[in-house]
Amino acid sequence: MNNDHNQPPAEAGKAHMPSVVTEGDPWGSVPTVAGIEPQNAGEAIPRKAPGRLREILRKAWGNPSGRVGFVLLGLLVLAAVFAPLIAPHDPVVQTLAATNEAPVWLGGESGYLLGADSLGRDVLSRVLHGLRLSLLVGIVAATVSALLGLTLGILAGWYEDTLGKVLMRLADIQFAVPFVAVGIALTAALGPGLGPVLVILSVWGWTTYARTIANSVAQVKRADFVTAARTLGAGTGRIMVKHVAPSVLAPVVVLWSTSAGVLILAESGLSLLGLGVQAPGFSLGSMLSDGQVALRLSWWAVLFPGTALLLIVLAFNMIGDALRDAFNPSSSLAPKNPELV
Amino acid sequence: MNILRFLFWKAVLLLIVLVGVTTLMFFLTRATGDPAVLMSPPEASDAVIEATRQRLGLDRPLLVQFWETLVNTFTLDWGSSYALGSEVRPLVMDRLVPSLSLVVPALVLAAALAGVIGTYAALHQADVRGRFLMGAAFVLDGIPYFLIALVLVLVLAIQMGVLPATGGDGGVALVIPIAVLTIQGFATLSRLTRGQLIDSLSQGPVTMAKSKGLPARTVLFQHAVPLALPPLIAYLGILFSFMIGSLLILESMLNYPGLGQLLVRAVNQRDFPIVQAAVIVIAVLITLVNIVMDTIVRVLDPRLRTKVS
Repeated sequence: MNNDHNQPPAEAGKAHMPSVVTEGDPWGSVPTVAGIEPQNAGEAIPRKAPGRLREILRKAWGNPSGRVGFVLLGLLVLAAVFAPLIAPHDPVVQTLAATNEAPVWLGGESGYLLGADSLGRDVLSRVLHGLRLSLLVGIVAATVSALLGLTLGILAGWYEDTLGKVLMRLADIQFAVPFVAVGIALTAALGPGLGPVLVILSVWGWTTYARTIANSVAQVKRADFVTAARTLGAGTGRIMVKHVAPSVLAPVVVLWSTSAGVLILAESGLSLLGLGVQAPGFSLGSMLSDGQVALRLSWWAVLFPGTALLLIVLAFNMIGDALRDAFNPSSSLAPKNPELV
Repeated sequence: MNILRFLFWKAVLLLIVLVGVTTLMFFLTRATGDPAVLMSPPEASDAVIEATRQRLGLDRPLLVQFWETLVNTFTLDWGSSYALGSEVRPLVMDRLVPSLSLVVPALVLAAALAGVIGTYAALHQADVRGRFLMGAAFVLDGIPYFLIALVLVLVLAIQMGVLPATGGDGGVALVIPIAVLTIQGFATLSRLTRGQLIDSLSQGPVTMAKSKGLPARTVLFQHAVPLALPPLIAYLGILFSFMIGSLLILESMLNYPGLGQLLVRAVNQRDFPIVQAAVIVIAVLITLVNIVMDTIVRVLDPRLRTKVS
């Protein structure tokens, strides 16, 4: 399975471009991943994680913007975990007298730090609690799709001429349908709710991982240590789990961090349409949906959850950029994960 | 591989996408709801529902129905809406132009802005101005597009009152969605443009041109830009699908009568024929645009025309 000509920009302009386009695979319109180059023939066989992974994480931590990202994400996660302790009010209690009350520093009289929404609920407490679901959905969905992508990518690379080809065509089909479109269509079938959204976010993202690692897997399959393991009597399954998977773990982690932010936004987008989490549950996205109708009266009920989303995405983007730089120092700025969104 | 073979395989790709998406949508919608029940009024008796089922041929084996759906997709016979009773094809097609009149200008604007800003940042990569621009692009890249939309509505429509908050007639309705899509697109694209240009500025042909003593302008536009351009054009295809994805949500938020609004409405009414047709049209659109971009790249980039091993 060769890469086609439609490499993501960050790679395509590189010196090795001609070698990437050779076999003339006219297929997929989907590029592999942003800035993560599949190991090509002639390059060293990827070193095994966890050594490599640890090295990448350390390098990313050494990068100032990476460190800011890690700290920011850490703070957001702490805020989410301890939301019940730090939130000054109950996030679902409606105080009629405080309806659309301005933040205290804008002259609000009820003492709400970030104001109250159109149902008189404390915006700060809701942002803190809303963080929980948003982060949880993003992290769970990113992790599930990473595991799925890792599995399918290994299988696609190992059986490159059979299953690999089928999976790559499937990825082509998926590329043509934006995430949001499937999400919307699925809620037509299953009804709105957190479940369907979580399912689609987890299932749709495998393609990027699979495309990225399939080449490396095909390479590793021919490596000496695999032959050695086979000679010693290891079965295919054992080799895949013990030898192949660790060698492609690093790009999976890099991709995970870039996709988590995108997935959180996707959940917010669907919740914004009322197709995601249903009341009384709420995420940052559904807060935007609630606040949108009363935008004129209480912009704080929209802007603050929106800012929280922005901080999450920035944190993941910073970490993602830093990890990618550490993984592949020669890559220039790359686009967001092209197969999500 | 010559261009005709290239186009042939791209046509096959389109076919695969069409069959694949139709299959996906058919089984997705059939697995979860009985169209006969959905089409009948809630108080309908079992006999009425059964009659509807027979009239629509829904009592036949699933595979027969699937084959028929597949054939109908290709013959552009997309059935009629459950909720409205009218034919689906004109309903969907009428929404195509309004949606495209948001995406196409946004794509052009984003590309133009990104070209200027990305080039500037690449040429000033070491100094404050270049760094500032890229920092701004990084932050802009992180702002959720729907938040941009809400802020624009708040500022332009509610605070300043220069635009209607939702809907509006003619050109006015286009301003906010186009602005949102443009901002979303150009942030990523200008970071990419900068990266590509910095890469190409250090490549052989460009350093050669520099060392020949050609003027900086000639080096940039005759040598560096052509090297940097093809992947960026290919990325426009990806950006197009991003924008369509965002548009599906933006249109409902801003009450703009496009494909996205139609899709979301159809979902709320569980109007499967429309959902199915809208998703298929979107998939075909995205695939076609990407094929066009790939073809342009192929024509522009001589390296792609010859086999190199």
